[in-house]
Amino acid sequence: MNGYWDWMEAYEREAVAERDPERLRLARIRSEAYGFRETNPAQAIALYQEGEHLAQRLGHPWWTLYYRQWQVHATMHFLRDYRHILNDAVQNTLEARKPQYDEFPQRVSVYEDLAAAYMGIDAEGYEEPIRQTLDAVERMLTPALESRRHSLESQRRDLALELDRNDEARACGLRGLALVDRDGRSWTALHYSVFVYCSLCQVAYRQGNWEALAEWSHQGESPARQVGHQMELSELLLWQTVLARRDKEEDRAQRWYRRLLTRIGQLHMPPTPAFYEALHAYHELAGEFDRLCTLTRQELRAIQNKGRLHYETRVRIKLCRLLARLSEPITEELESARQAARQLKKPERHLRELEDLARSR
Amino acid sequence: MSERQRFTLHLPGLLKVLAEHLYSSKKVGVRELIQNSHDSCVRRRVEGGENDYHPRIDITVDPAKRILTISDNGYGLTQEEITNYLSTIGRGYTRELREKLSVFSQSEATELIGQFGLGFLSAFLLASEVVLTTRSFQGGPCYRWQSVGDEYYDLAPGWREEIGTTVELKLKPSVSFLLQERALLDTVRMYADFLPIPIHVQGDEDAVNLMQPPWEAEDPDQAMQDYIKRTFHGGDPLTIIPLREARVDLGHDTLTVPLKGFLFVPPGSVASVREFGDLNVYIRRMFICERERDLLPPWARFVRGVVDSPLLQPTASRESIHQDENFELVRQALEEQLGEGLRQVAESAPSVWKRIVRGHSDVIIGWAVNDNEFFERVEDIVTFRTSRGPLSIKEYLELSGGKLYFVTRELGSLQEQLLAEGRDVPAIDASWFAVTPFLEKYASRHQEVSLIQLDGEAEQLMRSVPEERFLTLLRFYREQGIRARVASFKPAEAPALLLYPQGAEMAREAEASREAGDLPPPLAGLVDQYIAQKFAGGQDLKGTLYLNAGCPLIRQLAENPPTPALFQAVLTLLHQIARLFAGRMLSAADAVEAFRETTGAIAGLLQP
Repeated sequence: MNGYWDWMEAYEREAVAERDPERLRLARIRSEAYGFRETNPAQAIALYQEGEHLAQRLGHPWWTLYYRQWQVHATMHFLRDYRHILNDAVQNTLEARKPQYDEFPQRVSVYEDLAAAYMGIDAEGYEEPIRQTLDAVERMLTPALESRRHSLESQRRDLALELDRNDEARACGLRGLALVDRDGRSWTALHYSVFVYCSLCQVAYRQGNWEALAEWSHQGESPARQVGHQMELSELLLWQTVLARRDKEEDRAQRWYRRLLTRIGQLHMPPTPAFYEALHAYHELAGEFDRLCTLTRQELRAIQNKGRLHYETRVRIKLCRLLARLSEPITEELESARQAARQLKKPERHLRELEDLARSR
Repeated sequence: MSERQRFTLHLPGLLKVLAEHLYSSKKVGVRELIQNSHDSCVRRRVEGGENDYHPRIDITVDPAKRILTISDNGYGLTQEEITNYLSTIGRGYTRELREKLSVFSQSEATELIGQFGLGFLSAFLLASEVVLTTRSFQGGPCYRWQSVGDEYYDLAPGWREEIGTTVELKLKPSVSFLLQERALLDTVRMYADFLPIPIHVQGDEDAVNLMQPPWEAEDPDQAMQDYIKRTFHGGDPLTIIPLREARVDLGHDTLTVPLKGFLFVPPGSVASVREFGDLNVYIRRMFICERERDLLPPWARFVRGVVDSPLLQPTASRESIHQDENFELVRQALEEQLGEGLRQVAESAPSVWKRIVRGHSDVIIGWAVNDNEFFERVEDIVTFRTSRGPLSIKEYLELSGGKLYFVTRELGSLQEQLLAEGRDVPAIDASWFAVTPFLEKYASRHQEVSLIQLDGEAEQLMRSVPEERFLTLLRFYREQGIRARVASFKPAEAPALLLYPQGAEMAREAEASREAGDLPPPLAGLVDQYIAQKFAGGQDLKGTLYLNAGCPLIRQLAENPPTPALFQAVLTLLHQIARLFAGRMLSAADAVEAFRETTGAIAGLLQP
């Protein structure tokens, strides 16, 4: 089997040749569902479920697992909901290990999803097994599965970003760009390049490297437009808006900012953590701490009870810090943050930080 | 100092763009040329003022010479018009005529189809050489225009006796299929079936096109039925909703949306959330595209139809429509008329409405989950597969006393189903992904209804009883390391059932994986972490054996235990039968063991 696309394209060609509408539908649901990625993630998931159901009825276990895998992937990355994700990711992993999937090109994606699920839930608590899993998956890559390297690199980058290891994230990003260069202008390469540029922007901002932020945000814009990723495009444009504000081009910054909020409001995909980070940067530059507080509460509302324990804890701590800075009461928020932290596998560092905050009041 | 320059046009390049990028199918060239002929006939009728004018289009094909000819007795072109309209890209007479007519006669203006002045160029999609001969209604000589699709054309005196235009196309090899009469007929009918001007192919005196859409036929109901069978290849529709001109409320004003056509509900659908919900789109009776999926509301995936509205704006290739404000108005009008039509069916023909909802249950359930208004319309009608056949929630609740019992896997020989039926309660098959969210939504909107998932929670169908009377039985099992309890459940014929906690199968799989070592260690570690967390409550993955206090055999064994050997054999049999009945948790090795135990116990019984 020569990789992911070959398998599906061969299946679709056969379905066309045999004029089999059900098999054709089975092969085509994937792209139809992906089209809903940003505008209606729930609909995308419904279509993946439909694919699973159809595959079961037609007796195609590879396709069944393929659509189950996409449900997990879409729930994490389109809907950003991690509440029940481990159950499904574990179930898929246990299915994919069976000998009938030895040649299944998507097997490594199933395994990657399990690492991604733990990463989305508690990256800090499960850092070591996540890293080891990614290494193990990398060892499974055959030449036909080379394109999965983009995804693995992307996971490593996300892990580093989640853990605030910015040098490491930058190194991963540069490796990601090298992979993109190697693959030329294929859709896969363009697709992954968008995420690399977004991450590099985040790193550049965190490291205070405004020049790099300008470069990465502009370089990412074109591939984002080409592959049509609206969320990531908004993120890149928002970084450019941050730069405009920093350069004292206030009119332009405000105009872009309003336009971006409208654009993002039209998507039903929840914003990425990086998008919120860029929003924070925008308001922080103008010292708008009240707005920052409101924004952080919004971010919290969007992510709480979604099973994103580490992220939620970080946002709660950020809120406490902001409230403290504004000399507003924080007792209640501190307690909520403590409760969130206690759900983590390694809560100590966060609890200490919260105690420090409490003492400083 | 800047110098004003003029663009130049490279016609072969433009033709290449048209051929390769604007049109997705070369057949479209036939449509464009028929439409030019049509518009020319309309022009003659409007501007000619003749009382006995009979418009006509003739199409012939000569396979030997590879020539396709499209001829009309329309208005024809003068030399000036050939220069201004035929040979100027982007400028078409139709558009200018429409603008003129729209001031005086809106109805005639809307009959015209052409729009962009690009249509004639599509002749070069089909042909390596195009010859046009035309004689204008305005008088003057006949002209012969000839081009091979480069920057030049030849214009010379031509010969044609009657007023009108003939286009001869020297067909390219890639469109050889048009040399077959059947393919040509299909293409003409596909695009021009509804055009009101007769089209004759290969000299046949009968027109090949219907010339009127089914909704304008003498017997529209029958014509629409026939059309559905011919075009959509389905069975008899469950209902047909004719479309009519609509008034759309814009808030500050209302607007008339010209709308013709019909919607219909096919008799049934394969479970798919995107199966239908599509329309064949016409603009001024000219076919534009099929399977347009965005004009109908997303919940209407069980509806199909045909729509004709001059308000819709075709793209330049006229193979699809612009999703602009007009599109939105038509979409709004369609949604209103569909909603109204279905409401009327529900009120005046409840049995038909029931057939609609039941014929498309899976699709409807899928959409109702995401659409509150639609949910309200169907919540009590839609049917679910249950252990007693298809039932609506209303019908189900009458049987279950206000509770919804469901299993998330296909109903088979599940013990949950047996238990449910034992309590005289049917179980709902929620294996179709949308069923559980639908039931959850229903329960959340009807506080009096509770929702009970039976897989892994079947204990809810059991009544607890004091265990003292059954201690000898329980002791026997506990000594064997088997978790056992006593409860009362129906049917009384079932002496014992083995129930597993939710997720036990997954834990079993994880165990099998651990034993086989078939996952790389870090992955296995992540799996184990999850399993350990999930079953931290100490549930027994081997399951719990429930002895039925309502079963006469269990009572007899508790009250009058037989000899120890017989007692042991019977209790072993009961356990193994329950184990085999539960089935799904057994590996092949487990099943062998269960059979061995069973046959061993039977052998014990047979000993003298």
